[in-house]
Amino acid sequence: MPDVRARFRRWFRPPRKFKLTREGKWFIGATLLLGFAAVNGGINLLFLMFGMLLCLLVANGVLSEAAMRRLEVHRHLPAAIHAGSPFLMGISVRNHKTKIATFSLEVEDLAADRKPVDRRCFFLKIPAGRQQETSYRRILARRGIHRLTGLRVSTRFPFGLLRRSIDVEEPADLLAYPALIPVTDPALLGGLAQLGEKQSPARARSGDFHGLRELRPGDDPRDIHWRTTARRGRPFVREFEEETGRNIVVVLETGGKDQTAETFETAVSYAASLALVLLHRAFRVGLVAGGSFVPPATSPVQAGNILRCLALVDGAASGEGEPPLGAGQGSTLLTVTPAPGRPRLEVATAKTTRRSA
Amino acid sequence: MRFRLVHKLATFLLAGTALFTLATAAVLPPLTLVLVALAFVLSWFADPETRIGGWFDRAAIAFNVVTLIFLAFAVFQVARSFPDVDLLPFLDFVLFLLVLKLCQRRGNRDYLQVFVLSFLVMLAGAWLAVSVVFIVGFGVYVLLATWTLVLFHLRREIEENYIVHHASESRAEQVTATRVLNSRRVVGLSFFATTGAVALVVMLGSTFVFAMVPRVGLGFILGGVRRPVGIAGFTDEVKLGMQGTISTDNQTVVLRAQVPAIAALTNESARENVISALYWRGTVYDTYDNAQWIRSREDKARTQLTASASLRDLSRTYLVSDPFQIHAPKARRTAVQGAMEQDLEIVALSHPVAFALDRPVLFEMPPPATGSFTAVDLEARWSDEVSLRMFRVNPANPYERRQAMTEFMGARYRVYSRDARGARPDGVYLSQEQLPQGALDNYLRVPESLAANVKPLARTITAGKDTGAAKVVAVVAWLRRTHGYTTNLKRDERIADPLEDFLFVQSAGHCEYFASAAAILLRLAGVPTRYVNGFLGGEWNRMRGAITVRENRAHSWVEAYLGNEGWVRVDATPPMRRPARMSSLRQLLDSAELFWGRWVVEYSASQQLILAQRLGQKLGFHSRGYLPGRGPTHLTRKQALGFTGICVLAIALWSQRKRLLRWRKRREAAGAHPRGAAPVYRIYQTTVARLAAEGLPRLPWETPHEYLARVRQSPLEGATIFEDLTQAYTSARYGDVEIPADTVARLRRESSHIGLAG
Repeated sequence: MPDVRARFRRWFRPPRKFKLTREGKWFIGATLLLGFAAVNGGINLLFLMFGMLLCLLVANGVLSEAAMRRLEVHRHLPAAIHAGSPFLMGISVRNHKTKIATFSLEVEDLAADRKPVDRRCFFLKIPAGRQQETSYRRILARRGIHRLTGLRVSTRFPFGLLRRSIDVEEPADLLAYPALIPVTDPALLGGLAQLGEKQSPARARSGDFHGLRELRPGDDPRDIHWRTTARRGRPFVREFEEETGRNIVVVLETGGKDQTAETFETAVSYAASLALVLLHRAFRVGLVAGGSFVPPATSPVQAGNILRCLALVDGAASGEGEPPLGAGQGSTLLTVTPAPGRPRLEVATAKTTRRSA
Repeated sequence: MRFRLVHKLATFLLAGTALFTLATAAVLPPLTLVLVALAFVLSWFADPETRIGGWFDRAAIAFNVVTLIFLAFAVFQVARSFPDVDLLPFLDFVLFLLVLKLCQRRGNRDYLQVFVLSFLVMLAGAWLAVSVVFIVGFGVYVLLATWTLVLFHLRREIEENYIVHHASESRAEQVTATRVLNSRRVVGLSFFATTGAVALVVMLGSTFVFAMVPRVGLGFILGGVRRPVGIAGFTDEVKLGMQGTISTDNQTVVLRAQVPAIAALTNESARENVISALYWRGTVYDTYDNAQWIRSREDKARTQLTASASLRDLSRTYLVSDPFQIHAPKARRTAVQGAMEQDLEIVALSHPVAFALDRPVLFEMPPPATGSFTAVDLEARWSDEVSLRMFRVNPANPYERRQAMTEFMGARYRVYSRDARGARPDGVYLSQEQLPQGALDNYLRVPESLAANVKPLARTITAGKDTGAAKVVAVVAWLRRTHGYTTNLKRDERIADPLEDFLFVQSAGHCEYFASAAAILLRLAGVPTRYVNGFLGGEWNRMRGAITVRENRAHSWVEAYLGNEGWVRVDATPPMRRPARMSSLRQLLDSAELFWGRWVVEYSASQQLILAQRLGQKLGFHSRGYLPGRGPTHLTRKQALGFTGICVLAIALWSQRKRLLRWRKRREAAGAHPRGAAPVYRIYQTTVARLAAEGLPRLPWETPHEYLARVRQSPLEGATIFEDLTQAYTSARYGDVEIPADTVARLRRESSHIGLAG
């Protein structure tokens, strides 16, 4: 029975949605008024004008339908999104029509509740057979998964009397990493640098060869692998396994008694920012948060692993801030505890045996 | 062309078209037109960044004050015109606003306001226009309105998306918007071609709506009557002494006439001669006083009309009888016998006179159009003059007259006339001696102020002439001998009476002077006369088989009572030869005007019925006899049902065409089998459906053999049978192999055993 009902609804659900604009309401009002004046006065030429307004209204519907036909819309997600930071969401539209250009098209992302997000992309003209891309700027307020269900393509072309729209199913999950905040504690940063220098005077160039990656700002030019650079046409550098002594595990305390949502979010942001700073300083960084453990590493994807874990960590997960057995063995533990004002940071060295709860 | 320039150009053309259309209605004074045109041209150069534009910006407050004053003045004038509301002051205000807004163009909103104001001007044009030129203006307006609306919308989208939303974020975005507005690539030739095609469809649709919307005049507000326009300048007064040149190039059509007797003539030259000598009688005056002709309005001179209504078609017939005629006809049949039939169409006149050739004897007024709330009827005046009068009527019952109206918007009627040139075949009239005492006094009266030397002149001219007819001949001959015809009048200001000036000083004059002089001289000679205003001749339109009379054919003559001959027409003006044939172009225009008047301006519910019936006949249906000459037949119930059914089916198929296409594609994708496919298909599909119900559905991308291999991994009963069935199915479907009937029967029988074990 529900299936029948669903089919019934589908059958009667119009493929396109109409919504009158303010101008459209005025236009219809004027049309009705003119119709009344024509009927009232029996003035034939007013019937002609009335017919013109009526037909313009119909033409508006037909042309907007023609403008929306044979369009292909896609969304292009950005590589990384941080809560509170603006990012660009790419939208591309291809006009498959062979002769008619599409004018004045708007594309909006639909959130989980199928309501459009606050910003949209505007395409003034998409010539026949061509594709155009543009992007809109957006800021996600909170970390975590933001579900997008589809895209709403709409137009007010040609006269702006009604907005015709169609929803295109294109589900996607946006993972917003925690917001980044400046880590400016000079004592901590100085201590970490000292720690790294003391244990590894040759920095990260003395370990085992790990792999190649593209040159990034700040890399030592001595690490450039010239043969690969010449072959690929872009500068590549060698990466080395870090020494064990440079292992740092960031531990995010969860489920604390004094923890509030606000302090926890600040702590998550601090942990994420700290991890990125450490990775930038060539430490092998791992993470323990809410029962999840990311082993220390320096690979390019490590930042993504840590941020992904922090993006999804649940502050309500209690008593699971301890690293699993063997986690961070021989590493320096930086424990971030949510606290009013700014998070509390404790530095410790992990024991080789598991601590009791 | 740059987008901004295209938008500006389209907007100006739109406003210009609206103004042109309004100008063709000929209701605006020339001064207003000139001022509007000058301001319109000036406004083109008043772009915001120009000096003129800056000047308008600085004077914005002053213009606002002027606008308010103008509005107050317009409201005051309209209020003053109650109860006969005159909305023209509002039109002046709208024109003022339009040119002001064109001069103060700043943003998109101003362009929208220009569009709205131009639409109001166009509405006024529609309200007031009667000329066929309107349709030209309307066509251009629809095209430009479509372009302008689209361009306005695009510009707004550009401004909203590139300026407003991002204005606070950076200036660079504004630069982008300016760049887009100045781009040449936004709209091109294909854009205008496409939107032009849309405009054409809109125009056709407008025509369809125009033809199909039922014409039911409700008249809730302001009585629902349009203002009469396009009034021909036929005046109700004749005043001599108006110095200057009489215009002879006024081409306004006053009346159109279809005269079967003239249409039947085969000789073009003879027809031209006949048409040139047609006297369209209009207003009649009996009193000359203070250099002008007026009506004495005496009861004894009242025109005698006898009305009768037809029960068949609700038309009205008026018999015009002459009290001086012996044995005047009392019935329609005898009245029209030997009379000339004319179907007349009178355009809007300031003084609605029921024109007719010479001496009308019978008028037939058609019934009012269905649904109309006005009707035209006849009214008796004086001296055998008949006028037309509009009445408000109940649309449900056109004969329930509510109120006589001062406006007149034209009329059509049929009239029968007799010749008034001399001896009548229709009977004998009383001689002057037989008439009652003083019956013709008003036609013999001369003003006391008339110069003393006029009477001796009349005596001199008619000396020795005993009969009225002889006196008429003498007076006409004298006038034509001593005076010439001119439209460029001269006047000796020392002589008070222009008639005396004409008789004794001037050597030329126009028809009013000749007619006045003849009337007065004949009265002084004892012949009763009356002064007649009307039109002489006309132009033959071969396309329509009708005569068109324009305002430049206005003429005056005299009717003299000649005893037993009754009232006889006397034209003392020297004859002028004027062409009685139209050029081809003029015939075309005239026909267009006629069509426009009948089928657009006066389009009514009756014509809708006729149109629908003609359309029905074209489509093969039978009419019920509303059209003349067609017998009543019936559209059968079966035909009606069949036609309706086909229409419904066509609409249903058209509306569901997408679903049908999608359904067909799905069927094809699912491997649906054509009708009449081998029975083994059905057995296989039934079996697969049963297995799917048991939890082993065949996946969309699986081949039959892959499915078989997967099914075999499950505890299946009848696996061998299913293998056979799969083999038979693939052989039949893809190998085009004919499966023997006994095999099919076996598979059908055994396939019921296939299923999951347990």
